[in-house]
Amino acid sequence: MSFQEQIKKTTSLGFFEGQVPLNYKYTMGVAGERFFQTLRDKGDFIASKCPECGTMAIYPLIYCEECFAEIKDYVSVGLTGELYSWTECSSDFKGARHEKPHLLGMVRFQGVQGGIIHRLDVPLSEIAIGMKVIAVLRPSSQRKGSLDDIQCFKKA
Amino acid sequence: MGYRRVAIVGAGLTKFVRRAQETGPELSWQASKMALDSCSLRLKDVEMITLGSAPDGFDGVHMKGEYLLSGAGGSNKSYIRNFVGGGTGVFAPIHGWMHVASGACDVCLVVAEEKMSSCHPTPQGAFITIFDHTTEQPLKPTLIWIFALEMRRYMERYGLTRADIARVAVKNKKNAMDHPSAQVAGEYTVDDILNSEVLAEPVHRLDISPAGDGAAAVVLASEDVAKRLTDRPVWLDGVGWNLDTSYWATKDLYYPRYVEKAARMAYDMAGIKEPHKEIQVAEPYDPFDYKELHHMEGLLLCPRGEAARLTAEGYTARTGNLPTCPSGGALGVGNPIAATGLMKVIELFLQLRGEAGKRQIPGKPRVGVAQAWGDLMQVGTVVVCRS
Repeated sequence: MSFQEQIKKTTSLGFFEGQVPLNYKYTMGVAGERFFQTLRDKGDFIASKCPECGTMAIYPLIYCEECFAEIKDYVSVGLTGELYSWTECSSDFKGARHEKPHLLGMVRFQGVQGGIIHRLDVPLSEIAIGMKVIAVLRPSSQRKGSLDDIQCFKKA
Repeated sequence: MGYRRVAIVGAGLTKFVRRAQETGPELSWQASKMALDSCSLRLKDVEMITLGSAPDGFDGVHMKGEYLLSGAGGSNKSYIRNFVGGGTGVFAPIHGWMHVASGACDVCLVVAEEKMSSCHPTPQGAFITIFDHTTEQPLKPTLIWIFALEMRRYMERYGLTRADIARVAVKNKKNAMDHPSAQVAGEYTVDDILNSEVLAEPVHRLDISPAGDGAAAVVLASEDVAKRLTDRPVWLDGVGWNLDTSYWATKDLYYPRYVEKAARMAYDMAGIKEPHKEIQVAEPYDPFDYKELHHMEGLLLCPRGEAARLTAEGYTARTGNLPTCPSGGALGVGNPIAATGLMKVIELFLQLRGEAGKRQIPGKPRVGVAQAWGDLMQVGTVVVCRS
C-alpha cells in the first residue's frame, strides 16, 4: 500500500498555488526574418540552398544541417506544394473540444527538405495524400510577416 | 587513472549581446562552425556532441536540447544535453571529456548556448520555482536577494567593505575592453560601482553581470588525434564537479565548500599539489563581483578571506602573479550563462597557446583553472588545463 492510498480525504491536504511568471519575445532569426519578410512583401515562399551539397530547406536555415556549411542563398519555391500528411484535430491543448474539428496539413515542395504545416481548407471527402495544394495568403495590405499571413492551403 | 588524455584542439565564440537577432540554433551554429574551422575539421569528423544550456525558462523553449540540436551539429549524431544550472558552461567540457576520456569517441564537439533576451520582463521570473514553495516562495525571493544575503555574510566574516569587492568589477570590465565578444566592457571607477542603482543591499547594478545572448564551442580530441590536428593542444588534465545541499539556508554563506571539493577532484586528477603556486591563470566564475573572491578562495588560490586584499594589491591583474578573469569574465564579457562558462575555458585555451592577443598575460602560462557555479548556490564545476 502506498502512502497516497492511506489518505482518505485528499481535499483536506494543504497546497500552494504557483506559476512561472514569464512572457517571451522570440526573434525569428536571420533566416526566419528573411522568410517572413519575403512572404509579407512578395507573397512567396523561399527555401535556403546549401552552396556545398545543394540541399534546399523550408523553413530556411543559415547553415546546412547535413554538411554545416554557411548558407546565404535563398530560392523561390512558389506557393504550390504537395500534401504529405494531414490530421483532423478535435481538441485543443487545454483538452477543450473544438466545435468543429480543425484540419491541418503538412505541405512539401518539390526538391525541398522540410515543409509547412498549416490549416487545410479542403473538403474532408476530397483530401488525398499527394494532392496539389496552394497557399492562400492574406491580402498584401494585411500581411505582417508572420505565420498568420498564410490563411490556409486549398486545392491547387 | 585509467582515463585517456583529452585535449582541446579548437574553439569558437559568438559575440555576447543584449539581444541577438539570431535564434538559439543559429547562435549555436556560429560558435560550432567557428570551433570546427579553427582546427580544420568538418562536421563529419565529429563523432559525438554534447550541448550545455541553462534552464529552459531562459530561452523559453521547453526541451531546449532538442531545439538547439541542429545548430550544434547534432542531427543524426550521438548527441546529448547536459545541465547543472549556472555551472553548465564548465560542466559541458567535462561532459565532453567523459565522452573522449572513456574511449567512447575520439572527437567530441562541445557547445554551450544561452539566449536570455527572449524572456520578459526579466529572466528572474524563471527562477521563482527553484525556491521551496512552502518556506521561501511566499516571500517572492529573487536570485539577487539571496546573493545579497551571501555577499553580506562574506563581508561580515572578513570585515570587507563594498569598495573592497567593487574592485573586481572595475578590473574585469576593463579587461573585457580587449575582448572582441564583450557586451559590458568599460572603464569604471570603484565609485561608479558603489553609486550604481541599488538592487538588494549590498548588491548594486554594476556588481552584477547582465543577462545576454551568446554561444561558445570547443572541439575535444583524444591524444592521438589531437597530436595529428595541432602542435599546440591544450590538455584537459583535471575535471571536477560537486553539488552542495539544496537547503541553502543551512550553509555558512561565506565559503563555497562545493567549489573546493570540485577543485580538489580536478587538482588531484591533474597532479596539482599546491594550486596557489602551480596555477598561472584563473577564470573563476564572476556573475557577481564578490563571487570571484569567493571562488578564488574555494579554488584554493589564496587563503580564506584574502582574495579582496590580493585584488587591491594587483595580484589578480593581468600583469599580477595570478591573473584572474583576464578575459573580462562575466562582469565584462557578459553572462549568457552556459556560454559564459565555456568562454572561460576558451580563455584558458587561448592564454595557454599564447593566442590571447591584447589579453595575453605575460610569462607564457602553462597551467590554468576555470570554474563555474550555479543551481541553488550549490554546484561547483572546475577544469584544469595545461599546455
